[in-house]
Amino acid sequence: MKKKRSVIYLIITIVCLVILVLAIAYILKYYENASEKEAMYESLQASMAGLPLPSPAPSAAPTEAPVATATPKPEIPEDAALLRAVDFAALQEDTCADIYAWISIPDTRIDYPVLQHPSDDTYYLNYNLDGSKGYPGCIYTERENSRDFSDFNTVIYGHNMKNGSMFHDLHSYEDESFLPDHPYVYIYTPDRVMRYRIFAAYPYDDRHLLYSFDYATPEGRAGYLSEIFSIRSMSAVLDDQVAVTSEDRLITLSTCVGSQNEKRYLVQAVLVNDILLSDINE
Amino acid sequence: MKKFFALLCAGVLACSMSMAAFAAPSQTTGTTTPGGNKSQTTSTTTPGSATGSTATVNTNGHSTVDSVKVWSNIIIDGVETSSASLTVEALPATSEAAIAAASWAVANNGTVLQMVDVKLPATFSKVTIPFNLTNVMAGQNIIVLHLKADGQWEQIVPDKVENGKVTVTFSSLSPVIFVSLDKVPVKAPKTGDSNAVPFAAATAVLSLAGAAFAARKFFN
Repeated sequence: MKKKRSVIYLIITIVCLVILVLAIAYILKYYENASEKEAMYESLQASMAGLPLPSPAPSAAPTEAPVATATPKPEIPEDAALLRAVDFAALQEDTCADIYAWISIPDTRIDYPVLQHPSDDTYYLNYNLDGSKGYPGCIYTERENSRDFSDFNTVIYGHNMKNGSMFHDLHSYEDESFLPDHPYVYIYTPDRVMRYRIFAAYPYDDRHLLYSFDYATPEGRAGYLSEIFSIRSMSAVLDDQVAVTSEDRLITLSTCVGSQNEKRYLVQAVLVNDILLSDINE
Repeated sequence: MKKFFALLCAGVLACSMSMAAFAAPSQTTGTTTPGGNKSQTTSTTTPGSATGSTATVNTNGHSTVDSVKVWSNIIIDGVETSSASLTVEALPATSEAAIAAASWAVANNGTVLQMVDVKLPATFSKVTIPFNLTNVMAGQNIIVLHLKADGQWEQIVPDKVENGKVTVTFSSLSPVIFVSLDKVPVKAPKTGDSNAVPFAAATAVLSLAGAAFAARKFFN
């Protein structure tokens, strides 16, 4: 009888040890994978930082009078973050052909390429830059949005990673004091740089923003904006000093809220500067 | 045995403390309840512009916010006209037509985009109407359901599906329902980090405790 009990305890010990080893292996594999992906993004960010920056237009008055018919150039604000070089040709060739833009919010970890898959909208939710499946995925948009950010509302998705990467730092805007010091989102494309001013950050339900509102008509767009500014929530941060109209172009950065599957945290910004790189380089 | 239960209870307590509450969160914002009815507006189209009538309908469990207008250039019996008075009215989401369309769409894995009653006070054998449906994309698989005079629904394949525009030819007019057979996502992608590390860590702790307990018993 005693021998039989000993055998049972031995089996339990072995089973528990096997489970222990498997659990530890899973944890190690997860962190190894996460750090590998993080290193890949850091390497991309570093390679961008090493590129020569486009020089700003000279502030001195031009020696010749401008041609009367020339299109007036947009004013280039003095903002170091605007003068960011992104080598899209290299990114598309060496890393992933679906990279078409770069997004950055200074003083956060949000500094990533933006992708759009040509046929599967959810692909980059589950796949990484190197084609591997799993977290953290990529920052991406859906085909419903054009790649030139000309839509009324371009929705950009990213995971709310527990290790603080991807769009996790959007939740910094839950703190009201964060917005005044970090009001801008920068989008870089191969031919232009766009600066967006954040006017709203709030938790929302999980409806699909691109299919749930009418952005095709001015009335529909105005109605959507009105809904945003009518949000009354303790955790919503709205800056009603920022003028937003139905003719503006918005971006919505969307990520999850902890383990609440039915909620999304949205940070919305309006385009305030749209500058051609050729204007900066001249 | 007491030690084992104490250990088990401690493990359960640790796991339960690390789990999120399952209470439903309060609604933060929004006026649309998926599956509920949205407001409906009707008006009359003025041919020659695409800004005439609008109709907002919500059915089939989707909060599809959309509008229907009619582009200019209606073709009646092969003759292009821009002055016919065409009326487009939104159908109530609870109407028989809505229920029929919703049932058909669900059965065919489709989504009801719009339901409208189209009226043209003129006699014709064929009329081609270009509808302006926002959110419709070129190449999208759209089918049009049309309620005939005998009460039967017929399926009409549109002449053309362009971005925001669906052109359909009818032999008679009455309630018309636009159904997309492509799956349109109604919820935003889930962008949470649902890795199983906390569960794996808890499992590791419990299995370590179990192994220690069983090994002690074995060696004693």
